This record gives sequence, C-alpha cells and structure tokens, in this order.
Amino acid sequence: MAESKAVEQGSAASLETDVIPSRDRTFRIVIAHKDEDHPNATEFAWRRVFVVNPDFHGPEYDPLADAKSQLKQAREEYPTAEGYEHRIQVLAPAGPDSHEWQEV
Amino acid sequence: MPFGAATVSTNSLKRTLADRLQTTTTRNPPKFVAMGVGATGAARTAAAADTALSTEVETRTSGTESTVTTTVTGDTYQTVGTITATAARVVDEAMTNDASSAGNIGISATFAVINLAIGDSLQLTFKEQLT
Repeated sequence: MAESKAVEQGSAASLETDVIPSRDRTFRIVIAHKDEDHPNATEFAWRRVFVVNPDFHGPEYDPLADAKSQLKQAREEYPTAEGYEHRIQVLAPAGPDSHEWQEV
Repeated sequence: MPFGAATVSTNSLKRTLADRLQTTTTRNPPKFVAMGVGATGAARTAAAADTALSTEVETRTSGTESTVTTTVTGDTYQTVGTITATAARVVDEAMTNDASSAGNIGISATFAVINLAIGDSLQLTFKEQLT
C-alpha cells in the first residue's frame, strides 16, 4: 500500500514600499526676526516663496533639497547670531490654509 | 501581541489561491492595494488570521498585476499600486484585497512608520511567491 507523504509547500509574501514626494509641494522659507520692543511677537522680516512647478523641472528635481539650499543661503544673508530665525514651511497643494511646519 | 513588522499570506489569501485554480472561480484576484495608519496604536502585528487593517485610510487602488520570477519562472504573483495621501499620514500597515471596498484580504503587512506629507504618494509592491 502506497504511503502518502505531506509535501512541504506554502507561500511567501513580501512587500516593498517607495515614497514618491509630491511634485506639487510648495516650500516657503520663513525668516523671522524677534521684535525686541515686543518680545512675545515674531515679525516676519522677510520671506521667500517658490513654487515647485513640474513644467519647469525635470523628473530628478528634489524640491526639499532645493528648499534646504535656499535656506542655507538665507541663513548666510540673515544670520542667526543677529536674531533671525529660519524655518521651512511646507504648504499643502490643497490650499494656503492647509500647511504644516517641517523640521530642517 | 505588540506591534511588530511582518508581511504574511493570510488564511483568506490561501482560500483565494485555491479557489482561483478552479475552472469556475468564486473569488476575485487580490489586486487592490490599501494602506492604513492604525497598527501601532492597536499594538497589532500582521497575522494569518487578519481580515482587515486596523485603520484604513485613502481609497484603495487597483494594482497593476503580473507574474514575476523569484525562484522558478513565473512563480510569484505581483501587484503594484500607488496611493496618494490627501492629508499627512503616518502609515504603518497595508494589505492587498480582492475588492475596492470591503472584500477579502490577501497579503497583510505591518511595518515601521512611513510619514507622508499631503500630496505624497506611497508605491506598494506586493509579491506572493508560491513555493
């Protein structure tokens, strides 16, 4: 009589993930300077705004890297030692009221 | 069970695979891709008994299907889908499913948090190798 044997078999699942940054992100570099006469207020002394437009950039364009480069330049022009604060604001493509602050 | 990273073939997927070998099938292919944000909060690790994500977000996408080779020719079912975040998302779970809503789970996965900003997309490549 033939003997049946279980054959080891099964399946193996795997998952790979890749984040694709939005090409519609708008980065706004904000440079703030504390007003010594009003220490609780932060006034925007200057700001630079640039919009990532896919029509003007190739597929390898990295908007965040560009924003950080712009920020570096801004820090040189407006030194922290002189009381300036710098941040990158990430604006949502949904609209100007939807935004978040991003650590840089 | 605490949260942990795992990618598993669910019991539901095994049933689907067996069903799909029939001349007349009763289950649809698990080509839809979904992502969620609730595994860490639910202290959940993907398991064979899973039937859904803890907190699914965004609309499922119909993945691009193919068979690819892992060990022997064409031994792996693959579905690739890209989902765009309509809000900032802290993604920590994903699955394949056989329908655009509800339906039957295929592969279940939990993983370390992936932060998506609004407008960012997550491309998910699921593979199921038959061994």
